Amino acid sequence: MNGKPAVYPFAAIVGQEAMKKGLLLNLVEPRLGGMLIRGEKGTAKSTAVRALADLMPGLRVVNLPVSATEDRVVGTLDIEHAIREGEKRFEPGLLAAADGHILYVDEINLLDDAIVDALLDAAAMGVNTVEREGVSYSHSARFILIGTMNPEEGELRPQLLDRFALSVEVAGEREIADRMEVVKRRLAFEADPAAFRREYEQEQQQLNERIESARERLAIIEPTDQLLEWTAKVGIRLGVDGHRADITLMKTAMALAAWEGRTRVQPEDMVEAAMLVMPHRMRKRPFEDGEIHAEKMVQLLDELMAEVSNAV
Amino acid sequence: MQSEAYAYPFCAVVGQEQAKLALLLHAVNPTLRGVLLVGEPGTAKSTMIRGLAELLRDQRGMTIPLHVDEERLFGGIDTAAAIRFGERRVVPGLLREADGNWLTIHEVNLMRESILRAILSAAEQDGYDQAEGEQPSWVPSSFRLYGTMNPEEGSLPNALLDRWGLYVPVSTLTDPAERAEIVRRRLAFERDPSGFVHAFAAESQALRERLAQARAHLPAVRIGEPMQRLAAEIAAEAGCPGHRAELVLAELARTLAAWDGQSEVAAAHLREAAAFVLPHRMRAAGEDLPRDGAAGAERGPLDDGQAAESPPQPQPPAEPSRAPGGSGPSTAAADGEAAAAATPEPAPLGDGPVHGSEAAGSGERRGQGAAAAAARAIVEAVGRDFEVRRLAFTPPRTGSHQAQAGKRNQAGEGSRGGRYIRAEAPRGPVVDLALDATLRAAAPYQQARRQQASDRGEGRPRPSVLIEYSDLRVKVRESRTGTALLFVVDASGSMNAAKRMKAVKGAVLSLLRDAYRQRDSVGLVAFRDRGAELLLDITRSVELAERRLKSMPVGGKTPLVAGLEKGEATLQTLLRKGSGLVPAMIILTDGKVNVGTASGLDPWREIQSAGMRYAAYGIQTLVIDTEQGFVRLGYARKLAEALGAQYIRLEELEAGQIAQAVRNLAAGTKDIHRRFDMKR
Repeated sequence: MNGKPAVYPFAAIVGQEAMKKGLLLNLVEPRLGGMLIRGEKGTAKSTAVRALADLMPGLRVVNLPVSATEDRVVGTLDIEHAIREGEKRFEPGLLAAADGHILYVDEINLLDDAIVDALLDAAAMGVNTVEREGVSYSHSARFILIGTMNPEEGELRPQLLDRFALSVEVAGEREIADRMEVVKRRLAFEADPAAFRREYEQEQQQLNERIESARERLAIIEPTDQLLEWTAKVGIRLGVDGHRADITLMKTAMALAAWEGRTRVQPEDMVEAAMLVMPHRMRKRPFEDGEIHAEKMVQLLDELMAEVSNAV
Repeated sequence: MQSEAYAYPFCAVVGQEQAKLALLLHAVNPTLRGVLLVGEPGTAKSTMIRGLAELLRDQRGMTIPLHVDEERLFGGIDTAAAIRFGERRVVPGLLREADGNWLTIHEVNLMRESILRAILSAAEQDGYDQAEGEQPSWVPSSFRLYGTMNPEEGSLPNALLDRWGLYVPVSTLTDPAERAEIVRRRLAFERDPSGFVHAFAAESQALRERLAQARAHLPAVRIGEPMQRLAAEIAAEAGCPGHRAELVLAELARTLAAWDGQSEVAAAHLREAAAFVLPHRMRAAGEDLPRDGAAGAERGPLDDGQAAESPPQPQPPAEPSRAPGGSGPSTAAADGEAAAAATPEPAPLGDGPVHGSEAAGSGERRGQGAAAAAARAIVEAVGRDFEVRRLAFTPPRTGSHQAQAGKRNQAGEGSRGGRYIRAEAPRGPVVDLALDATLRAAAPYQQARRQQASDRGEGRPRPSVLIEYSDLRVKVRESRTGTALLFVVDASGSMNAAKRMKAVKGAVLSLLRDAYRQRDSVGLVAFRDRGAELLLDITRSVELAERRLKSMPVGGKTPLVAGLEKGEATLQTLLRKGSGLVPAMIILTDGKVNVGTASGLDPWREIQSAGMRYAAYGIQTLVIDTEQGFVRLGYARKLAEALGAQYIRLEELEAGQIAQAVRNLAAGTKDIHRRFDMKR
């Protein structure tokens, strides 16, 4: 492990099912658009993201710290090269490092506006263009954006919010048994990481294979007219802005079906997908009594599903 | 969401007909000066622009990133040559490279205003002044300009809005069938981009041909005098400042006629054109014209030697030289076309043949009055898209705020946050080195320094570039500042008529909702009974503010002074922290003071001196009078006067009629830091 800390195995994470599912879906469909994880501290968010990358060989997590300067993020003039060699050269930033990988931003709501702009710029076209400090350079910047935030510390700008395909709320486990299990595994991991990882090796391998086969399956899943209609109706009824929500909803449902080993999207995939895709986009009424009621929403989704089915 | 090798075809975009038409018309006639697509995220704004570029094919597309610096934009000293040869060589900037190409700016409202202003000026004048070198030299460059923005992230000042030729609001489609089709196509495209593009190839080709035809036809399209007059009437009726509106209107109407294959502009064309030209230029009666103050503010280094960059006034009308290819409205009309000769020149409106007489309403046109009526009808049909800025808190002129030309941002001194906007010689310890500028500064001396080094017998110096302390440059950074809105709410017994408190909370909530959109920070102080309490320190979490507001205790006496002091202390702490936020206090009360201070002084005298301190700190204040009913004591107004605060009544707030009051607040200050809009 050469000084690099061992990664906690994804398969060993206790609970947090929605978060784990959302992360895995982003591996099944890397173009899905990332995920926003909302919740208090100490809920295994960074552990899960690091563990996620560990599932796929070659995939890495690029960490974008809140304190990062804009130059560090978009890239800048290579100081050392300029002084030593007397030549101008572009020194790639974090966006370049994240290309084809996971870009992880802890406490994304505290990010400097200039950095958020850079992220939006890159996200709009999948390209990072640098035109400054005498440097003119552009490179591909496609990454799985994973952000975490504690909503008590401030909101996210709407434009950035919309860029996240999925969002989940996380909280600490409530069941005592689960909590004990969290601690037990953590201690076992810290005592002997290598042994702990060996213990989960098989499960990890299975997860990897499941992702691979889901990717293959996803390629042959077709959206049906009925489900497309439902998607449109859900978007309209929930009053989301723009069409990215609709597109993401369908893609998420397809990825879910593939993940579950099916080649057809089922209504329950759609409902599950909607619970990941829609809540953070329903910001037209951010002040109605606190959180969106999951039950009410599921009820609405079911009603719409019945409406669409009857029409056929 | 996109595929690198293939752009989503323009023809495959579902709906958004207005936006597509605007982009196509602009492609026919680039003198229309830029298209701005405005709308919520996820409405295909960028997709359409990219698709159009693919359709045009004859030009290279460039994106200007938000972080572009002035050096790169206008050109300057070539860093590479400076490093390698130790020479001072001037290179053209991005705007020069854009000549003959098209430029896209995504999220224009997030771009620094001085940069955006310079780009828009260059687009308008087909070139710009380059300040490097001994003499500023004119750099010609004509390019097509496209912009997108999401108004939720803040709007553009009027002066920057009306420089865009065409403006198209883009919104989410609401037809289920169309929405389903959008998803279907998008998925099909992502799965097989080349197949998808191929499927639309015939349609794309047909569109290309129509574009070519319209371009060829455009020079022959004329606009008769009656229609020119109607264009002017429309612009005047809409209260558009300057003459840009009617010029673009006439030119767009010609383009529409060309697009339809007609050779004469009809009223219908003007009506259609108005929908693109007016929405962002309409000014309500009495509303400020774009102020020079706004144009002059925040110019920074552009000031030196580049004054021509930013003409504060709109362009003079119809400069023939500004209309390349002789297709400007005035030249077109005088083009000696056969049709032109056939029109009796001084034909009074209504007497001569009315061109495009199939257009509705033209038959009944009699004299000027009728033309004005027609213009009015057109203007009314368009409607105004841009929301009035209602409440604008601006930073004080005197304060330590950044963006004052040439002044350093004291709050951010030594901090490395924000955007690198330019470099300057360090005044103090070197913290944030601007290498590019340092190298450029060192460049001219390289030969001499090498010579000196070898004279001293040191041989070839190790580093290739010899840098001395005097070469060092540091980065000047700027971050967009928000407003810190501290709500000071009267929760006393006099407010406790349940209905009234509900109205107050409702008002605060709607203000919070706006703060949420504008990314302002908010805080909450409540005063009641014996004292004032800071319920929420300045935070960006509107969620928290809302929760605290809901659980706010109510009842007791009215210790107004305590509330003011608490508010002041809170904002002062904020100022000391140097967050760069513009402090503002919004006081909601009926002003019925019945508890003085501990010292037993007259509360009104206390209030007056508080007002003076606020002014000194640069704290903006607004009193919202919550008094209701027939008998009004008017204490809150007295409070506002004593504080030197702006004053409005709660009902006005609810009716949304506070525009004028706010304009007064903004008058005399710059509106570059417009932070707080009240919509609805």
